[in-house]
Amino acid sequence: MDSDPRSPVCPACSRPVRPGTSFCGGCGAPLPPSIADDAGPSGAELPASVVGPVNPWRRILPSIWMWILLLAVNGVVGIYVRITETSSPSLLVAAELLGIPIVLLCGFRSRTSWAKLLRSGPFGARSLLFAAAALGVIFVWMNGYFFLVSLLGVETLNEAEDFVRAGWPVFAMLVVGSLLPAAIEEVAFRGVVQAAFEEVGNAREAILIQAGMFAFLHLSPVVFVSHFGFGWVLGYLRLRSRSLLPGMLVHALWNAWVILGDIGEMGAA
Amino acid sequence: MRQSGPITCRKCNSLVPAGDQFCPTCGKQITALDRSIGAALGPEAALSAGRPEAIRKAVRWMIILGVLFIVFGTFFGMKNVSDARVAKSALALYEDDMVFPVEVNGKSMTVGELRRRIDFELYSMFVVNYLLAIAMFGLSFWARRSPFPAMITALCLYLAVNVLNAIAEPASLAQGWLIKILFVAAMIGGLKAALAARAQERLDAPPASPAA
Repeated sequence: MDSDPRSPVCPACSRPVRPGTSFCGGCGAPLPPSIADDAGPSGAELPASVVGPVNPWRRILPSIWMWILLLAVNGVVGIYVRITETSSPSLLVAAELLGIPIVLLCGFRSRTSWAKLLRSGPFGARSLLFAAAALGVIFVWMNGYFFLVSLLGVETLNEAEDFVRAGWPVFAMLVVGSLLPAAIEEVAFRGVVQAAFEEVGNAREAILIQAGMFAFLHLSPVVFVSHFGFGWVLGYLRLRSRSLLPGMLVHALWNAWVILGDIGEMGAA
Repeated sequence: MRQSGPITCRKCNSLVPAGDQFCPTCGKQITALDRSIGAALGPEAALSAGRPEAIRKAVRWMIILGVLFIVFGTFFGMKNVSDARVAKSALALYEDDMVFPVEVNGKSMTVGELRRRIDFELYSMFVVNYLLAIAMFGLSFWARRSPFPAMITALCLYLAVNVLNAIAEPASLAQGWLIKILFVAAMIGGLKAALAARAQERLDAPPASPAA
């Protein structure tokens, strides 16, 4: 499939030439209009033999659509809460559950590249140590950042408040607020997005892009900064561990820490 | 440094694949001097020849957006300053420890808390917009070196800011469509051009390479 039988050759020296070019690169002879006027494949539709197995734009488009759909869900919920001035836990849970079909649908075509990351990867003392280090870095970074921000007078949202008021038990809050988002977001960002951009670009770049997308989805300028660092550490952890599971564990532990802290704060108030 | 990499034609600025002795676009003979100049300029110069105008346009739009953040941040920040002055003069009669009779965002607040809240919202308008402007300028700078990740980050940041604005003020969804369309179109054009330039970079066999 790599050689195109219709690929044109220079009439003067028989060297293969690209369609749409006016002169032969080998001998400099002008090419006939049949070759020169052939527009050939444009940038968006490069042939598979040129760019690898998949067209790069098509390869990343599902990731971008997934992100836009997740953003739209968050936006609609945000606008609804803003207009009606009512926020109910069931609305937040429904929005979260809506993320599952969005991620699976948009990640379906590239499933082979990220589903293998759901395996545990090389498991040993080294990877455990690495996950523990990532957790430590995240705790220091997030707590330090939010402490500095609180010194500036920024109020952080107590996300557990609505759930406690609605009478949710703690374990249900942990499932809905810690485990579920950790699993969905790791598959979406460290899985679908990171794998797509790794294939199109390189690993370092993919980590930065998915960290940005992950942070911006949280829709708060304060959180843009904190979660960019959070996403960067998790992306690096996924690169080194070659698995999504350590990241899910670290992510869930951080979420649980926030929820328990929020509940504690309510108890103190 | 890749001696045999693609270079930019010095006559017509189009891409000359590695191994070609003549520019396929204008027919200029590529001399050893052209090759060494191309190699000295590095692959970036040759890559940007893929579709340079789309990438340059996208970078320009990122700078324009940064400037707009500064302009809007200053304008609405100043408007907030005058609104805050009105609100604070209305509060002037009350003591800090009195409870404000109307709930603010579903919470009852003392007058002192309300004063601090007004001050905070005042400065956050400036700070958030100026930080977004700095982020856009930083991304435009990064885009000169690695256009693809910078442009996708700028596009996502812009879309997220639009949704944030819509949550704060739903009417903003219907505003500024011209800039929204132009910016998103410039980013998508730039992204496609950057990907095409990359695909070209990966070409080692010149005959199979498509025209940019």
